[in-house]
Amino acid sequence: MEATRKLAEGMDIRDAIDEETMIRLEDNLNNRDVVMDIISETFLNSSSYLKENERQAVAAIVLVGGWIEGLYLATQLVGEKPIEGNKLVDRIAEQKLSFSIVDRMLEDNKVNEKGEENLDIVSLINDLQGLRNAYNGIIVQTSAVKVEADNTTNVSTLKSQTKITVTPEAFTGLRDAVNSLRSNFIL
Amino acid sequence: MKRTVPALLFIAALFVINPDIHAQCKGFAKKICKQELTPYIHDGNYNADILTEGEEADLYKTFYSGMHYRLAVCGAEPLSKIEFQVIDAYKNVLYDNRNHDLAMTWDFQPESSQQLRIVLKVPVSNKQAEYPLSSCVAIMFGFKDK
Repeated sequence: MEATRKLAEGMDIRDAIDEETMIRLEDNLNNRDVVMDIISETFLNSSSYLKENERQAVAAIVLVGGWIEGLYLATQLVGEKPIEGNKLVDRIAEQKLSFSIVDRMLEDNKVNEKGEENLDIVSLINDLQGLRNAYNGIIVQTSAVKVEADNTTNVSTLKSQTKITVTPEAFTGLRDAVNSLRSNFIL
Repeated sequence: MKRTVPALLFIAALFVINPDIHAQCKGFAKKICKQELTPYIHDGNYNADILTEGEEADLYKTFYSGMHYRLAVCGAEPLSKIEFQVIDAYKNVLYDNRNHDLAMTWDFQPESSQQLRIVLKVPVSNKQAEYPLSSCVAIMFGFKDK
């Protein structure tokens, strides 16, 4: 929690995270649902605070940083386990779908309303090239979706198939790219 | 003097009463729209902005297999209900709330992970009106494990 406080102060978003929330989080560290609720609320507050204060680019960078950290943790968790049939590996590969959204978001924030280029965003786009190259070696193909509505539960099932192709070499390349990227951020 | 006083009062009121509409938008998203997600957990993303009648907006999002999702689209007064469509990568319309009485939410579970596009449109309530209406429109996502 202390590290979180320091990060918030460093980004000047301390006002978006109140002490009561931090205490509630510390008191409920073993309650998954409460923790997720608090984290999502905190992220919402931080993100909207940054956007209200004309710091959309910082909000984008924070989001990307969190995504990369998640990728790092996931790739580390795979360890030496087999790649084939590994659901965690599949989930990591599926992040390729989110990567295109990350790229789009960074492009949207590259230039501010005054037409000035944000150098931090430009630097981040360049830094992500290694990860982009790694994901080029991973194939994720999704079929068209057919919707099956359930009138009893009111939940629609989106029926489709996804074919994921990840070789051990491609996964190693991805893990190395994530490691390298994260190392640059935390130094 | 009688003509100018009301005008001056009106202009002064704009400066005094004019709120921070973006802060209000955040408040609307958190206090009103987020409640529509219950019992799903909000994913933390903030997607809200001031839109005007006739305007469209879209966003892309990845949804993962093994999860249940709820999408909520909310418009603050004086906007009427917001139209939205969910479209897959092959441009198939998976859901159009115009076929469901402009419902605010849609619950779904993808069999396999994919990227979807959500398109919003603020319908025009009165084509004869001199000025179109504007207000906060929020789109929020909730999730839970299968």
